[in-house]
Amino acid sequence: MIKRSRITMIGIIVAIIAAACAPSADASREAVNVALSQPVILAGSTQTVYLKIGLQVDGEGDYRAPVNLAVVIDRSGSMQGEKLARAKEAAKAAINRLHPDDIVSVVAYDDTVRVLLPATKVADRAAVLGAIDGLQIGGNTALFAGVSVGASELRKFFDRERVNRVVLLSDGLANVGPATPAELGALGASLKKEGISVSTIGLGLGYNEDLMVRLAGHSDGNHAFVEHPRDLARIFDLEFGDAVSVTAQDILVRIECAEGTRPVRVLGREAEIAGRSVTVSVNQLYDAREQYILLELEAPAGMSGQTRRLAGVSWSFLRMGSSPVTERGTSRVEARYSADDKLVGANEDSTVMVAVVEQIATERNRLALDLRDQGRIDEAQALLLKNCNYANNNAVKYQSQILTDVALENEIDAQQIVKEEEWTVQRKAMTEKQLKRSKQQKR
Amino acid sequence: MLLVLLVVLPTGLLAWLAIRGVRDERVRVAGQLYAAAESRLTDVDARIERWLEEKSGRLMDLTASSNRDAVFWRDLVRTTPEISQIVVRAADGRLVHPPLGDAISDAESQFLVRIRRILERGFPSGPVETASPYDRSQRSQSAIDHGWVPWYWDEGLHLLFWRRDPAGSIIAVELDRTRLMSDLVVALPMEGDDSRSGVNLWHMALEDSQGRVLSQTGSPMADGEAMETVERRLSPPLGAWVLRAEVRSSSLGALGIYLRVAGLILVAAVLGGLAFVFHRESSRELREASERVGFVNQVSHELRTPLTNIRLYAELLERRLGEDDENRSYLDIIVAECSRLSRLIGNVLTFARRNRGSLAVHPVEGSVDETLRSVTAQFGPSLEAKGMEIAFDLAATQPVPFDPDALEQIVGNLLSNVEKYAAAGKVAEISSRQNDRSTLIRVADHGPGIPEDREESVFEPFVRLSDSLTEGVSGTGIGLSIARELARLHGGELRLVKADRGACFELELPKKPARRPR
Repeated sequence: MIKRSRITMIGIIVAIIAAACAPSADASREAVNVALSQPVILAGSTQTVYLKIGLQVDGEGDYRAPVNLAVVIDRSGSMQGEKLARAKEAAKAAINRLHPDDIVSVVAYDDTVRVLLPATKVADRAAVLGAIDGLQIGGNTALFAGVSVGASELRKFFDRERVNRVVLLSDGLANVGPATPAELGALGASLKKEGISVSTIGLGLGYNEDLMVRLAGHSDGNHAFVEHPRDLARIFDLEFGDAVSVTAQDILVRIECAEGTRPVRVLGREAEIAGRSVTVSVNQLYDAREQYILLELEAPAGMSGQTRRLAGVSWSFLRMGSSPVTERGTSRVEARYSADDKLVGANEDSTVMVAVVEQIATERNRLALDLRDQGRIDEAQALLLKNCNYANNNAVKYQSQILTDVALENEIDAQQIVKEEEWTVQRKAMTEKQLKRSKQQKR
Repeated sequence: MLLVLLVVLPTGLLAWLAIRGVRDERVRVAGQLYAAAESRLTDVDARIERWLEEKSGRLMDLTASSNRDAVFWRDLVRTTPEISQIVVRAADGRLVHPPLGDAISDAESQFLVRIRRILERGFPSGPVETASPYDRSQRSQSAIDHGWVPWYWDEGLHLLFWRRDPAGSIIAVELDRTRLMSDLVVALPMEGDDSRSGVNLWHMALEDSQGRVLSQTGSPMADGEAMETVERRLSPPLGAWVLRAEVRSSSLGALGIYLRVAGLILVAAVLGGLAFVFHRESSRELREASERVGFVNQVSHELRTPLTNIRLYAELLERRLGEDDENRSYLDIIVAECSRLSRLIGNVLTFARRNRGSLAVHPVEGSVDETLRSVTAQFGPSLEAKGMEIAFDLAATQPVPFDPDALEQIVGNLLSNVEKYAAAGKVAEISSRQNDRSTLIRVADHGPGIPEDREESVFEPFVRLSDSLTEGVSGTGIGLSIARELARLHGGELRLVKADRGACFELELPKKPARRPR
């Protein structure tokens, strides 16, 4: 009798465990998670709240996204020697890891642009590697034309079900053709509309980080600052690995705010805000990595006990895999009002708050960089230290490793930003980090 | 005194004549290049015009109806790379999109501000009188219903495309300026300079209204290097942008000609005027001919890049097609024709290199027979098409040092002659032999043969040179001359040997290559 009940108990426990595990095992986690920073809002006056839309699509099994890559390499005079030699090695090693069905093209530019290898399947490995071997040093830096031609090579075999990406390597200032960060940013934004992203790799200390970061940021590509040519192999590998780990593309999120609720801004990303509707697009999501859209809202004043609908969220994305499929969904955002600020505090969503603190700290980090650009070094340092404290306090409050990291980064920035001789390196490192934080890219 | 006068007077006269001759020649060549540059710019402009026309067609399709809501227009802006903003105005002048008031975005309201003047001015209507080519007026016989408006703000020229729908509504689309530039960069011709051969004739640039270079091909000129500059404004609506081509004077080798002529005058002063006149007369024709080839040489360089691409893709495709694919025969022809064109271009470039004195062979140990087979295989389809057969008798099995590219070129030229002149003989014979000292290769045909009095002159360049440029290049004239040159660079010889019928060429390659000083 006792024995039997024990068996029954074990059976029940197993069943419970199985039930608990089942959802996470089969139906993997929800791709889109919508949450408010304050599900319970303080009644009586308009309140600022944050809406976080977390996006994460996990890969199916060992599926690997097919890619269509254009490797665009600067062959201006400054690339002479170790830089070009390492770049060739790194590109070849990375291409060697691609599958025969992947598509790759190689473009080199100096004053003019040359297509060394028109878009072709990697199956012809010898031709691909030979094209890279043929890279020679030239003169100036026609970066704009280089990226334009790289993108046109992608268009030859453009496919929404592939990861279409330009990988740009440059060590210099663009000096032929459009060359301002704004123009390259606009080019990036236009390419994003087609589903092309540009990942930029800045080599050494001579390139314009604002331009490279804008180009990558506006097209949803990555940016890496590589101080020594010997690190190129690792970065190329990371970048190519990143491309094949894409799990979803063409993500479009629309937020329609209810009457009375006002969208203020989207933190860290470009967004279109027209009246009460907000549209954000993201080029791609990666396996096992959450990216998010963070919208600051002004919620209308409410009465205690009242529940109000603040917004409706709708989304669509293309899930990659053996048979890609477009998925759509909607979600309602509601909040309860309460006069009890303890209850408001107790209900605060810490995951949303961590994202908010991360983005605000990143914004301030940018501000510090602007101050340093204007020569206001002391103010910049003070701001960074303040930022470090802010992140640290919240790290403790929300038990967050991310915020501990943010605090540490700002502390190091505060130490480095006053060193005149380190500024070139420091500025590049800071812009790189800012982009990664605001777009939740791989670190 | 008389003796001095006898030497100085004719020498001076000759020098004057020579310098004048060179000057005339320079002017002539420059004129040729100028004309070529001009036609090239016209071509580029036409290409851009065609591009705009296509763009116009695409925008017409995208804006087919004005009866749409804000979501539609915004989605269109969001998903169309070349569009930055859209405005829709009803026939009565009322603004339909973007919506005014709270629902407008910042970007939209900025757009309304910058096009206010254009909207106030309105768009043309009424009968078509001067329809420009990018106005596809066939859609409406009697009235202009769409077009481009160039306008300036901030960093320069922007383009606005507008159309009027049957209800009289106006839809105006602002093109993304950066994207426009990016697309034009891609639409422009792009040929790599060939730094290996050092030939780099052109520099062409597209400049915006502020003289900023948008894109260029060829490397820029150093100070004083440009010889001719040709400018051309793009056709409207991009009339504020300028195409500029510069022709490199150093590429004409003008200085070289001066030096050469000066040297000749010196020799003439020593040897006497008569000998000089004689020499000059005979060399003049040659020089003119090589000038022409020099020009063709430039053209060839430009042909090579697209040709390499065609070949590459055709070969990729060939590898992908199954053996018995019915399309294979077409592809074989494409590949064979590509090889033929490559051969022609290769000849011209080799000839130019020879004239610069930079022709060399690079012998490596290898099998002659193998190279012979692979060259012959290229001719397979075209010989078959003419009902010809190839008879092999290959016995050069020992590996010897030779330059496979050069051998390919020599045998390729011989076979291409067979194909051109001896197809009636139906047979091409290729044989190889080896002895202690050398390898002998024979290419023979059963065609009409070569008359005895021309036996040596076929090896001279431009023997067949007529006024027609292409005939001069593709004829045996430079083919055989190059083939012999390459054979001699190996320390060997190419000769015509007696045969019962047809022509028979014998190529001798020594086992120990002696690189002959030129």
